[in-house]
Amino acid sequence: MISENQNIAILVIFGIVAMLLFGVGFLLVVVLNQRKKSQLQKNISKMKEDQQNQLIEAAVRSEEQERHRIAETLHDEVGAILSSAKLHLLGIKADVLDERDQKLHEKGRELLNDVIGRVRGISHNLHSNILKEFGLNEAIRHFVRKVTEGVIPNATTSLDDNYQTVNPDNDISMYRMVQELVNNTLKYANATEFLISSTLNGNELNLVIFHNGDGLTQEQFEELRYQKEGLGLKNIQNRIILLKGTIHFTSGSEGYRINIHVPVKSNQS
Amino acid sequence: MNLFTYIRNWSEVWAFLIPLIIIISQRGKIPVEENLVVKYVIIGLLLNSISTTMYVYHKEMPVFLKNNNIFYNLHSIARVCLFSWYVFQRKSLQNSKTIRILLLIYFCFILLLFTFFKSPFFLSTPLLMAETIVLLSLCTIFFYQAIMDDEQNLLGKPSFLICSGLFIFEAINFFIFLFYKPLGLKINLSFGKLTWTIHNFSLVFFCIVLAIALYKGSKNTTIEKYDK
Repeated sequence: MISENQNIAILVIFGIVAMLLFGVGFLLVVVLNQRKKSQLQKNISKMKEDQQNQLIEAAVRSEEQERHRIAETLHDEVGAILSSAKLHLLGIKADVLDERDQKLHEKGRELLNDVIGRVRGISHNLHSNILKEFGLNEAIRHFVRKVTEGVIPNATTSLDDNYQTVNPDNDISMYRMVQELVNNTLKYANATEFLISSTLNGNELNLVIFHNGDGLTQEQFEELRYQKEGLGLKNIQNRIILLKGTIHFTSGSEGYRINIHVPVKSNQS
Repeated sequence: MNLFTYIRNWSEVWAFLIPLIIIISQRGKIPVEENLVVKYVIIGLLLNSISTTMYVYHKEMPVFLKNNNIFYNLHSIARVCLFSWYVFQRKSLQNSKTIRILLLIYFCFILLLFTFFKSPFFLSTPLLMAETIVLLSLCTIFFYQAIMDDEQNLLGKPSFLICSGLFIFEAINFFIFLFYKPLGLKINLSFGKLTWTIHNFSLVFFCIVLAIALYKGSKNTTIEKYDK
């Protein structure tokens, strides 16, 4: 009888252990299933992100190509026609004209020079030869000097010359962002002080745009970048995604600051 | 009485102090969905304190306070009521006919059991068995539904931890509840003590899991507040 009871007791203990193993096993199956699902979901979101990045890259590249094409057309075709028109105008002997015609001739020449200058400016703006030939720092210095002259009294640049172009396409994107942000500052900020500085920290380029006018806060940027009218900010956001960088808008008592952090890596990586 | 016996005898009480410390230290941060668990901890602590005091000091107790079985029966019913309501709170399970039928059968069963067959002053094996069957079924339904719902971050949620702890607790106690009275109390007392010690330590494990789940829930609430 005692032995029979002992056998039953052993069976009960065995049953308890078996139930414990069943419980743990069941939970293990649930956990593994869940892990598998979350891994699958991660892969799907990674694929979606990659796809979105590819679309952004395609949009940015095609925009750049279009700029290039317009710049070349302006420079080679419209610029050539205007130069030819100027030559023809200069061919007119002004000294044989009466006083009224001489004034009109002079005015026409002035206007033509102005148009040629503007077309060259737009063409260079759209397709920066300086960026290609002298690199990002020189292009930014030249652009800031050109656009702030006579508009912002204290406009300076302090760029890290250790930065060397690794990926020309990334330089174009950074240059376009700087162009857009500087243009926005000129349009809306009413700043009297302006500074662009850059530092190269290992594999990261930090660009800082500072001005003492009215700027954007991070919240305003987040809000405006998804609006239809905010095409410029949307482009900035797209380029930031493309460069896998970050952009932060901050304000203090001295003024507004835009910090751009971009990883520097080659096209192949 | 040696230290181990002392710890074992009072384990049904101090186990509940673990989640209670979390409830007190994290008060105001524990999400409302976990209110039923908080209630269970308080009710469990109260019932087990009474039953353990009656058990430890049964020699000094008057005759009418020597039998603590009713508190075990009450604890079992409270556990089923609170945790089935906890699982039932889940949106996708609110219309579950299986749960409704299961609970209806359970309540009819205990009503019939204590009206016609058993006195509530005796430890009822059928009641404890019904508890394990109902709660194991509910936990299985919960896990199945969570998998079907494709719930995000299920493993990090307090409800998953709570149901896992409950599932393990009930799985361990299935055979204990089945054989404790017929074998442990009537034939082999030392075997009865051993199985009840296993029961007590599975309860400690369950209470630790509840404490972790409540702590996690309070942390999630804090993160959500900052996110807003």
